[in-house]
Amino acid sequence: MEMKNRLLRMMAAAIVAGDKETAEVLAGKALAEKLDLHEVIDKGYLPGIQKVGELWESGEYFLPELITSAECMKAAMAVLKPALEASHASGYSRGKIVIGTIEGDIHDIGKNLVASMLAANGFEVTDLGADVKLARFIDKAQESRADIICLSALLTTTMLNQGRLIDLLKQRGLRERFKVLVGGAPVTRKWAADIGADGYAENATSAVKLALEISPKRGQL
Amino acid sequence: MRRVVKVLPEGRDLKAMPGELLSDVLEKAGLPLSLYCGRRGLCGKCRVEIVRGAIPEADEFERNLMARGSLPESQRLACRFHIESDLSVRVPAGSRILQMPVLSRGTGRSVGLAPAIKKIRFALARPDLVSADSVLDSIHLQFPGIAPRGPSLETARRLSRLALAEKMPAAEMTAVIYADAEWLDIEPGDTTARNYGLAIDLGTTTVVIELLDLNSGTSLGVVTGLNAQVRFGADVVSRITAAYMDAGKLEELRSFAVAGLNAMIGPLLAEHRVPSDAVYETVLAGNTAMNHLFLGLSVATLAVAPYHAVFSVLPALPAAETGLAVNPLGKVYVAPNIKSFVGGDIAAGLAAVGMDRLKGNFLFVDLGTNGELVVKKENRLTTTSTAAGPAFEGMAISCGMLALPGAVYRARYEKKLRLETIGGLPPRGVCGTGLIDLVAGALDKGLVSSRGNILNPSRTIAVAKDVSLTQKDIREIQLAVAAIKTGVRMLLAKNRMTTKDLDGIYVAGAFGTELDTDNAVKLGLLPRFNRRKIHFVGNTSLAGAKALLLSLSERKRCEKMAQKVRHISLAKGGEFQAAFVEALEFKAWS
Repeated sequence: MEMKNRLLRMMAAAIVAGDKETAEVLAGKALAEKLDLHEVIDKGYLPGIQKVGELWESGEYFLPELITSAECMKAAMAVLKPALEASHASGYSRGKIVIGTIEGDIHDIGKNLVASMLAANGFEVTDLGADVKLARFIDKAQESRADIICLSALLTTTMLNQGRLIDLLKQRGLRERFKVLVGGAPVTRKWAADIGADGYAENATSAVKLALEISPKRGQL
Repeated sequence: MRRVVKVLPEGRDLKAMPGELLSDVLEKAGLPLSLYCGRRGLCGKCRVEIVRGAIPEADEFERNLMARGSLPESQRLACRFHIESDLSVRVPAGSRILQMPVLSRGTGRSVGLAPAIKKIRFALARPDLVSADSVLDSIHLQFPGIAPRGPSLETARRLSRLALAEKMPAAEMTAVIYADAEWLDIEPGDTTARNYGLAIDLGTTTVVIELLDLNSGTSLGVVTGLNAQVRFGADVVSRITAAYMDAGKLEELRSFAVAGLNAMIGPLLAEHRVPSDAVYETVLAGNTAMNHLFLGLSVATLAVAPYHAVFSVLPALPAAETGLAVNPLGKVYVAPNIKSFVGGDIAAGLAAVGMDRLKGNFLFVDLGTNGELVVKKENRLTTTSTAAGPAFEGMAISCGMLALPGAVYRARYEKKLRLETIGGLPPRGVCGTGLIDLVAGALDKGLVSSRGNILNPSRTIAVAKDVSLTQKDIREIQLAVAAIKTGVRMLLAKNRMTTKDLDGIYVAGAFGTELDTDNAVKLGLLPRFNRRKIHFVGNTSLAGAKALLLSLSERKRCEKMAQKVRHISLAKGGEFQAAFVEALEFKAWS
């Protein structure tokens, strides 16, 4: 018990420190010790990435730290994945998300960051890349049975397409099927409300919080 | 029922209709405010203090600004304030657009004088019965070795009147010829001594116009001012957005640009006693969006990916069609666009430094909201642009401001922090070069880590009374520096070069001229490089426009350069992100 708690604390610390090797070694150890893998994620790694989010919000961490920690998380999850899938049909998921930069816009660093933070926080993320055509967004969301669609736009001109995507969802009778979250430098809460999006997030950590709030799964299996 | 708005500290009373926007009322009264974000309520730069009268409840945007500490309770955003009752408002200096000192000089080479406009004087002999040549034929015979097209019907009519009015047998006249190819106009008498041209730098924010004597190549005078389109937003994307969303706005933006230029051209010509009819040629250099908007061309293709321009090279246009207040039969030449967002200002910049004539390898950097970069490797030119964001213009920074009076533009930590402000006024904000100095100084003093973290417990860096840098400000500067640094490194890498292969670096833009090289190197904005080979060349957009005005062959060379420059897009491919994230650390590099 004592050892398990120590391991869990070390997992969190490895994520906060961005120490990929240790994060992987600890994941291997969890497998060897046959620990409950959901507990490992929920009480070990996730608190680590949550702490990273807090440090980002306080201004202590910036993009490099956030990206390194998200990569650590990914590496640790990759170690756990085969065993998780063997023991639970659905693996571990807090919900399915498709994300991309909207049609007409090629800026994607912010979107990449949001995608990796969502993944690090236990979501199954399909990243469609940049300049994603509206129809493709919807097709992929249906195909992957997504719960949430995340739309990024970095220009006031391309931001308009966020609204068009929602219109297209309505046309196809799919508006209720997906939650739609919008973000990007020119996007505001008011814009999100104007176009009828389900939410707006200012940055990667608030996107995670928002996704957790509206995801129908909330970490269930 | 009219309302009265008293403006402090001036004490002026302005009349307003109920429901009218406060920012509009102030602007109409000649008190334009900084509407940086184009009235979207995001930047908070147009705040005014409501001294008397009903203060409406803060809206969502104002509450956001208040929560961030950027808007006191007693203040509101003038761009969102609809006037309902009589008011007294105090407009803080920081919210006003002041007369701006604009960098009107750029370093250009001296170019051989060979303007496109030629004036040819001749005496029209009385036709005799033996050779009853038409007036036109006999004039054409007098053009030495050239056969220009023309004249236009308008010019032919003028000629017919002149030919009758002038005293035969030897009526003296002057023909105005463009590029040896086109007969533009006919003037009575000998006007060869009066041949003038205008060079215009049409910037997103500022405009510079220079009047030149095309016979001698000398500069007669320069005026500077603001681009009258700023009311649609300060940055280029807000202008593109306005025109893209509403075709009517495109025409409005065009007419604002033209009217703004004409309002500067009139007094400039009057001051030097040059009649507008004596100006037969104008060369204008602007970024892609500005020259499109000036011509009234749709910017829809610039608004969304793949972001391409409507034109690269345009022939010189009939001045009358552009609306500029010069001789309507004259020509207006717009410097060629290179590719997408690398526009005529950069092509002009390349002409100003004579990039195609330099021997060796060179880098040209224009530091602005969009950092435009051109590298020359032997005879190959490659360009890219990188979104630095508005931090270098002092925007997106809590205490940031343009290089206006009162802006800290130099800072140095000695025993205490020493500041220099524009105009020597008390500091009211910090402009781009001041930000570079402050961050570099703070880095040296250990107030900020190379990762950009402010290390003291207050999490701010005090600059002056009511002026300080926050953690978020430092982050914005990191992003801007990293964008330029990554752009330069990747552009060099794509050409299989490092800074060691460069024979020189040209840094253009107003920001560059006051930049402290050591501090810029310390942060990683510029590479470590032989100081004597870093050339701060200032406003090369204007210098280039002048070169293109004074020499037709420079214009041809510039067009050739613009068309052969290879453009690479940094956004494509994941390399940019990795390199960008690495570049966020403040660190000298070479």
